[in-house]
Amino acid sequence: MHETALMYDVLRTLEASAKENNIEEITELKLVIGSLSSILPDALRFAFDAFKGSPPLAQDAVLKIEERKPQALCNSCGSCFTIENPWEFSCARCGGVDIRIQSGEELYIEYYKGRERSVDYKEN
Amino acid sequence: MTIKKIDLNTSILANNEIWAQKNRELFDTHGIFTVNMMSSPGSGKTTIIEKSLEYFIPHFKMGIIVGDIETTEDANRLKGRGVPVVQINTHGACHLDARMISGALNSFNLEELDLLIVENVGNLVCPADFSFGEDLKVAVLSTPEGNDKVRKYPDMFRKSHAVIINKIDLIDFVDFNLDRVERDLKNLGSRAEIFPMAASKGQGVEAWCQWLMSKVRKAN
Repeated sequence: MHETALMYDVLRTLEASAKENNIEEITELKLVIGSLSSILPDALRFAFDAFKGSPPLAQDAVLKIEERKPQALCNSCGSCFTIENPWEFSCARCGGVDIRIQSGEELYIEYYKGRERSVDYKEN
Repeated sequence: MTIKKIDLNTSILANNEIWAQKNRELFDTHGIFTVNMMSSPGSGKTTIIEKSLEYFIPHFKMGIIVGDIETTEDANRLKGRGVPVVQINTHGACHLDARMISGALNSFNLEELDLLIVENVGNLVCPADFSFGEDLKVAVLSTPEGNDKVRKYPDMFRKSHAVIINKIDLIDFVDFNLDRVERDLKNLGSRAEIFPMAASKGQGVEAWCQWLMSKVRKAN
């Protein structure tokens, strides 16, 4: 979908947060992407490599992406099941279509790790 | 030097969601019901809106936003009916996002609106992921596009509250199986209302309009 634009927004979010938290260099970043979100992890990685050096805040950061398969709960028989095909949401056990999606639509930055800016203490 | 871990748990779509939330607040403040109409190009969204106006105008103060990559042809078709119409040209972008809608809202007198219909850019993929704060998503599928589209583009159909099957008058010429579409929608866990329609001939328009009007009234 719009991985390039979204990664640009991710880096702007990190930039703002790093400033607030006194982080001078980001070393690791983790995203969680559900497979129903229409976002391609490989395209995100490509965009990350293209953008991470500008500004150089995250240029050596490791991008981790956790991909989540969609899980649903069947309201008819109560079983939990994995949605294998995104066009087939019926219950794997009873075939019911009254289901509730419980995961697979995630699309968020879970955390990042970074080096704190060292503080110079001046002696009075 | 210490490494610090910052838990963000922030949506990657946060930028769009911030604008969508601003829009939602405006819609709530002014009591405006909003509909996001999505489909591929040429499925008949503008014709459906044109034909629906005669049902809506006596009951609601309406506004329309139309999105296209270029030209004001859709807006020109809809103008002259006493309903304010704003055309957004995205100049290449394949969907309307919440910020674009926010900008277009400046062109309306929001006090004078009960129902805002947004005709999205023709595209079966991206508009589904960029909410602008709407109450309802409506997908239009026209019979010449083929009856496999629900399975091929499941995201948009899964998220839609209603699906209009337009150009139903051509069904015998284009090998389109309505039962299959209904079955595919069910398999997506969809509870969408399905409205077979031949908008250019006015067939099926009233049922859709009655349904939408009941939704607007329920919300108020």
